[in-house]
Amino acid sequence: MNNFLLFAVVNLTLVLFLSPLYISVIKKVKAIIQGRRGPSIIQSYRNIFKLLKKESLYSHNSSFIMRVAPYIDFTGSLLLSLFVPLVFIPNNSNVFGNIILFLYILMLGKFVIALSGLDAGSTFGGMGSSREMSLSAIIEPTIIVVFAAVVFSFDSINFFEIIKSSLLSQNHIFLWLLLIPFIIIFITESSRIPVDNPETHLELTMIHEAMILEQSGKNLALIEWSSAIKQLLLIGIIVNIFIPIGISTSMNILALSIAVIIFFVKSLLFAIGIGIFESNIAKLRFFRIPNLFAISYFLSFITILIEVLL
Amino acid sequence: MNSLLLADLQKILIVGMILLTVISVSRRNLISLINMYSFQSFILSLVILLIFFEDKKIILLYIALLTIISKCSFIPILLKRTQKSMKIHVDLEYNLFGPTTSIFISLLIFGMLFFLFLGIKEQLGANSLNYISIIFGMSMLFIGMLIIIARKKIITKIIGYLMMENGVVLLSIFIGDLPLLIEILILIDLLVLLAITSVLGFGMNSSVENFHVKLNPFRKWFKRVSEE
Repeated sequence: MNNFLLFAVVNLTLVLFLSPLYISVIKKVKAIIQGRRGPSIIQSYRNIFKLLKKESLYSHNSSFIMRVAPYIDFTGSLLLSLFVPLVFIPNNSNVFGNIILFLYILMLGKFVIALSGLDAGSTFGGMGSSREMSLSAIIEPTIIVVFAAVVFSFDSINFFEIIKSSLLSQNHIFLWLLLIPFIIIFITESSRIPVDNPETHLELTMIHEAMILEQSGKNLALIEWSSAIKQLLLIGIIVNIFIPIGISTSMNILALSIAVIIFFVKSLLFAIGIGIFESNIAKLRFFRIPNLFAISYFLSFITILIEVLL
Repeated sequence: MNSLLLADLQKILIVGMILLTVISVSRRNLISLINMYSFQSFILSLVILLIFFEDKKIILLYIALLTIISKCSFIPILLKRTQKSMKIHVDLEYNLFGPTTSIFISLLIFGMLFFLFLGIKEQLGANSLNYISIIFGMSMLFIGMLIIIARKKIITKIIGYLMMENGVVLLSIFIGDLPLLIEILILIDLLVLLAITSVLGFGMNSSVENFHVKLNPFRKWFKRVSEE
């Protein structure tokens, strides 16, 4: 149990304090490519800090859902951070690390936020919730098939074991095919550019931003922090499954600090890559997004067939 | 190089080929379609080169060089010239199925072929790499056909046909020895096809429906001649 406690402390600290960084890193990379100076690297920390000091305002029409939704979402994200080993793999646990539970908790947060978008009765919130829910309904089969491909190829349903076996055996080159579906899932879940634009508040294009338009103050800070945490966790899954170098399995302080540094470099490179990718691509029309999902479905289906049956 | 690693690399390259075919089912920009075809041919030549490093048969080297020269450079340049003369940049129209449906149909084709051929895997005497390339070659053939059926513009149909041919080459490379002569004949076939379609493409304003309108004067003329 001591082992797991250390894992929990390390993961929670990393996730809480590192997650807002990646949002501003991606913004900075995009700004540099567009020839601007861009916001400072710590701007997202400042935003969250500023919002935490402000009071939350509620619409007269809103019910208790509006008040509890950010807390449920944030707690869900904190719980999720115990599922994905970022720098340290603890002993196996039956509850934590289960992929299916992970996906359901991920959906829970989305569901609650969508409800709170509907709750205030404003047109924008309802529109955003309906868009977000239809998108997540479309991507759900793809997510399941992609994670099923991972489960089949590593023969385990636990993130701890999957990353451990990925660390021990280097012969998973064929699995690199899953990188494209994973990146498509990452883009959709963290509402980034080909699917949704996180920077705009334009009626026509916003999806995630429309849902949280009614939120303010502490609640908004919690929601933004929680989406940053989810983004970091998805980065952690992708980076640690495909490049498992440097993850520590022992409770040694030296190995742990090296692992933190290596994870930091890996995930930062991934974020920079996402920034470059985003600035090279235009936002897709809403009705062409299923195409993208169909392609990632195709790839993961192929991977399952070949990994399992051959 | 480790042979297991080599086989894995080949598998990834072959999957990349089929992925490009599937993406081009739904892709709308013509220039990027042509680029995708030339990239696919480049991957095909890489696969052939990897087999050459394993088998050391000199004929494979010739085939790879031929692929690079003709399919990666010559045919795309010709296609781009045709596309320029047509003055269109996107192919938005679909005949029977929409883009997403087409992708799922190609998934269906792949799955069916996979399970159909699983029964005769022993008779083929194929290891997993051979089996994958046979299945993928076959499904590239059928997905190329799907492109020809589902898209309307003539230049996209040509690309579907060319991708079909890539599937044939992939299939024949792994299933047995492909004589160089046949490969050259196929290439000449492709070039003649390309020449004919670009000549037609000038005349018929790039869509098959317009072809009938253009042919209508001929029909009238023929009718008049036969009546006289």
